[in-house]
Amino acid sequence: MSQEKTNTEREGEHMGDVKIGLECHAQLLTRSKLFCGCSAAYHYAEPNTHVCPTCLGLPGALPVVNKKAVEYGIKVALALNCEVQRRTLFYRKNYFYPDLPRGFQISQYDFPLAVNGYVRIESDGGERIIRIKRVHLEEDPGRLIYKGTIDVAKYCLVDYNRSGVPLVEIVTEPDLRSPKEARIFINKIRSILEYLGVFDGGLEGSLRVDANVSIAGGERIEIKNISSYKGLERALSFEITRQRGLLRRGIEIKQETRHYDEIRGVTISLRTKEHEEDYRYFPEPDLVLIEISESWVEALKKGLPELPDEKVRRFMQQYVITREHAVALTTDVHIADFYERVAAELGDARLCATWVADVLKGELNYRSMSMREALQRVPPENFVKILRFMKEGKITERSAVEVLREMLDAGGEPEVIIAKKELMRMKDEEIDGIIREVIAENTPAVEDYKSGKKEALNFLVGQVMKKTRGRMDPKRAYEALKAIIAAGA
Amino acid sequence: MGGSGAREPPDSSRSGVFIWGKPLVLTGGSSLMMRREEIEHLSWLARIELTEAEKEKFESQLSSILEFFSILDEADVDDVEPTHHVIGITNVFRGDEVERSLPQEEALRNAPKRENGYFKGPRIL
Repeated sequence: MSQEKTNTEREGEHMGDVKIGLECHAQLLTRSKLFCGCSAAYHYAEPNTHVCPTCLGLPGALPVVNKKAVEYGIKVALALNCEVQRRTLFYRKNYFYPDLPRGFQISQYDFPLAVNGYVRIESDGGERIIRIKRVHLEEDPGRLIYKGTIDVAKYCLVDYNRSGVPLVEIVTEPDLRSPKEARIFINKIRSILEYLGVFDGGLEGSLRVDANVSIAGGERIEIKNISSYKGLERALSFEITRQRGLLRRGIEIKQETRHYDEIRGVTISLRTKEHEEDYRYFPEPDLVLIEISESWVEALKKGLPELPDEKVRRFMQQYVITREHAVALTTDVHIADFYERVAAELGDARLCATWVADVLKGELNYRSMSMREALQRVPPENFVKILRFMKEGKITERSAVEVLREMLDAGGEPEVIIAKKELMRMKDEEIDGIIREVIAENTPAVEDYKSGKKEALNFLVGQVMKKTRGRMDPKRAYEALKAIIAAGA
Repeated sequence: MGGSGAREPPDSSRSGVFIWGKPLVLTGGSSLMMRREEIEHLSWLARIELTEAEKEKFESQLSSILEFFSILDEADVDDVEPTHHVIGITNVFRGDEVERSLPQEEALRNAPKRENGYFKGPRIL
């Protein structure tokens, strides 16, 4: 762990000599696949049960474009501030790999769906603009399973359920300057796509990234097969450290493609013999040109939801909360909606911001629980109840957290949990008795305090909290202890 | 359409093929020759193994094909819209509706090798 901490790449500061560009492939949440009517919801299905002649590449089968996928693609392009092209076209990308049943992938090349966009991210150095080079549609290949790791397996197993699921590919310019920035960017992309309702980042493998990394003095290295959010930062850190090591030893960095091994956290050289021209891209003769009219784009633009950047601005104005809170509340659209409902019902928008952005989000992270899952157990009205009990002084802050935790873990009504766990705040007459008990049981600490050791009082407060299981505010315990000791002295 | 005007008389030293009024001259020249390494690379890309004799044969045949194509480069297409597709229709879509897929057994029926409902394929690095 300390080894990792000393590694500067992990600290994620702006690295002036590093250039990173990403190709993000995100699965679009259409019901059916891009070119056939097979269900795209393959995630928990038996292998090779969501397949048909088209997505298996059987002779004679013809693809027909799913209109919804094109519309989702246009929405993504608009949300990334891209210029949607008037005419767009599919190409065949030819190569042999077991995950491609036809020997080519239907993708886009010249005439992509959209070009020239940008995304704003909040980096360590403040706001940064990351340019988007292009956005295009393509089909997902099948899924390969290797027994053991890729370099020791003797054969592969192929499941074509994923074959033909629509992907939107988002290609950036090499504007990212550190692995941390790449992670922030990818989280922003996830957030935007989820806002649009065209993507579910919680599904396994729904977002896959190829990265291009170069450092000053070396050629560009492509890393393939990064399939998790954490993996991206790790893969880039590893690669930058590796490249710096080569340069230090005077070894030339030559352009190559490397494979990211998620389990070992390293990149391995793939020695591919294929270059761009080897894919022999040519227009897919089985699909016709797509013309995108101005009115079609306008209609889709009108249907766009409020996006994260706008929501941050509105939250800061409408709820008078800090930028940090507004950003934290808007990353996940489900959390943003939850916050708005809670704030509307309770009224105290700033208190709600703290409790949703800091407390609730912290508890969710700790449990690796998504807001959508949490909603099953903590509907907004029950969250409001907890805060209301706390504001009315019926429970302490600490008890409120305890109620929330119990609800996240097991569900239930706040009143019932408070009653069952006896979390009602102590009445004044009870407090006096408890304080006296603690004083009687801890005479050495009381003596220490009396003789001037102020920190002894903190120990006594701790004892009170322990005895009351948090049903008394620490501040109240502090005051009461001070008063009673002074009176008794 | 571009190209030059007058049709030249046939010449026995030439191929006898005319394109846009210009005779096609097969020079066998250096720039369009397929080199041996290129043939080998192509054969690798297509996953088709070639014998030495076949390589030699394809070297000359593919070189002439390239030469035929080079004549197209002479056409002046500055004002011509690219032909994306030979039929003039656009925007052929289907609605986002789920249709029935094949049963697993049917999907795997032509597979030379299979395991637990999966197609079995070679490991490729």
